[in-house]
Amino acid sequence: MAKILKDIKEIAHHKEVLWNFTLREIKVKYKQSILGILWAALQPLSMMVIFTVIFSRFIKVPSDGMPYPIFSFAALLPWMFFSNSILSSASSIVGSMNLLNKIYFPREIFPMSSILAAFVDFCIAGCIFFVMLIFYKIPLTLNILYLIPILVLEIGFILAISLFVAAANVYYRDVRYVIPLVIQLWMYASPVIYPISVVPQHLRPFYMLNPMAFIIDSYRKVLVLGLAPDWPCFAAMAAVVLLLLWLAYNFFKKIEMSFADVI
Amino acid sequence: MKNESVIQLTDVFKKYRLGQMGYRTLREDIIKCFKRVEKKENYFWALKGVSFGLKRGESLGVIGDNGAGKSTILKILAGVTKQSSGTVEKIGKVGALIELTAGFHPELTGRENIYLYGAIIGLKRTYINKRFDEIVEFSGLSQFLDTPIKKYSSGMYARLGFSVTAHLDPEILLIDEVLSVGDYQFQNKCINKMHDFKERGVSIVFVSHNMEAVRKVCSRTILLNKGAIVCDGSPDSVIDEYYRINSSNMKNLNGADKAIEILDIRLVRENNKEALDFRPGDKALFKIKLRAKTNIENVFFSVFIRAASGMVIFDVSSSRLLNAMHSLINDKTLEVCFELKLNLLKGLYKIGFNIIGSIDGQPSGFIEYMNDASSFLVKEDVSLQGIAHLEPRVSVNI
Repeated sequence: MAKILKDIKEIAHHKEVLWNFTLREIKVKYKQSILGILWAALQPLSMMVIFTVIFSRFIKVPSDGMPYPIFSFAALLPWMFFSNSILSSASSIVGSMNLLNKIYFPREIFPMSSILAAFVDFCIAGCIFFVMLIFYKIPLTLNILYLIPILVLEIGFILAISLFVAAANVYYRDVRYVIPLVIQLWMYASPVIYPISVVPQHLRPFYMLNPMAFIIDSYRKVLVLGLAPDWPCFAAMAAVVLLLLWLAYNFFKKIEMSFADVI
Repeated sequence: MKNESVIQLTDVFKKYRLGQMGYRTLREDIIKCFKRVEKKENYFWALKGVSFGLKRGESLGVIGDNGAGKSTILKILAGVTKQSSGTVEKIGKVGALIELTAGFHPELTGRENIYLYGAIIGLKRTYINKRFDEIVEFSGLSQFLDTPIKKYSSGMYARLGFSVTAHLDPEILLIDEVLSVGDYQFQNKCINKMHDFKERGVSIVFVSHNMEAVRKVCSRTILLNKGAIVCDGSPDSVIDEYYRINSSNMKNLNGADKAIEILDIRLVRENNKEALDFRPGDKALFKIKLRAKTNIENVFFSVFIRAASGMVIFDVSSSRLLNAMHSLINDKTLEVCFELKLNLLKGLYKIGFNIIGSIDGQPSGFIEYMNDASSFLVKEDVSLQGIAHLEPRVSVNI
């Protein structure tokens, strides 16, 4: 525990590097593109349009009584945050080998800045979502504050996975190719285009082992329906995420020192 | 306080896996797992029991061939990698003068890169804000500040990076071969800056192939050979030892103890009279007579002149002048004569002489290295400044 505190202090000491890496990632991503930062909104918007056309016009997928565009966008918000973070974290360390070889700062900063940059996209997409809520005349309640613990849970989960894939990719470059595939499969295993209610009752316990299923479902509950999340389930997920974080963190720290030798 | 050690390495070993220095693929590992390949790993020892200390305010040069372990030492000190065994103690804030372009991003502007690079080497944003104008002025790039640096020339890159680095405030400074980039003026700027750091009491570890820079900057030097320290002392003596080892390696290559025997060295005037002091513009002939003790083909000879400061002010070789190589033939004597016009200012100069082997027209190693083959004095009545004598005349007309 004391070691973790020391490492957190070390990261805080290098917060300027974290901040600058995040800025760099955002700036570089949108520089020299005409639409610039608007791309952050266009990505989930276009997905939503396609999902709506296919899954509510062509194939009638139930949406728990919500308008399908709102239903899918409420899921795309956390999902894109998750997938963008993991995808860019995976190559964050390998892509900076010339720095890795020369100078020390906590290596967690690489995946962390990827997550922060993805978080900026998330916030922009979030603004679009609020415009949509107004358009569909869905009332905002104070229950929206429940989003905060859900978001913290999601960030914890993303951090755990990111630390793991970023470190693993240093050792096995296969990781880079596996991740897009896994992310795609993962999306179908999460309630992004369909509601949890269509999952057969006897498969539910297994289905809910996926933290993203709980997170996405909670986003819908809180943002669209104005309900509180399922707290017992939240507590269980929090325990799982903490355990994953602890494992990923230890794994990362254990092999961190050999990055420069292997890369 | 003055004699306190800021770095102490004790019996440090570092091994790398050979053959698999890089990353692995899952496929290889899975195949290995199934084949039950015996766990015979090939190791390469980059450092084999290195111990040295660095005192506060001391500047240590680290020299040696490629692969001798210089960069590994620097990496361990920077905290980028860990020793396999042994202990490393550091006291104080470690700063690194890294390869100046490593921290830059080409798509960002000069201004943005100053902040990015500054953060990477450990400068606070508020600190950069305060010193921003100073940094820009030092770089001389104020016009290009809002241009993406992918449009910069390599010299501009280096200038920008160095002006940020110059504002670093470490207690221990690690420098890796930064002097190999940039023009002569820039290199001088670097060396001056290192002197500034030294005067502020910063301890320096300087890894370089540039012997002149090591001579200028360092108060002590260690020589690494195959992962071990073979020599530790003043820069002059260690650099000489380095060349001596290099030349003896060459001799071993040829299976003889000593490839040549020097019979006579003379520095004479045009009239063949030996002389020690000259006037600017005088002609001098450097004559060396030697006997080969083995057959070596494709060698060439070079002389260089060093000023009292240690700086090489002139360097020429027979291969460049004659565009040809020579052969050493066992038991044959040979006289080499270089004619030089000493357009030099007053002072004491040393002449060095090398015999260098070559393979395919590329220098392959020293057969003989004499740092101090001869010396001479240039005398002059008028006092002039600089290094070269340009035979000045002046007239003022009204």
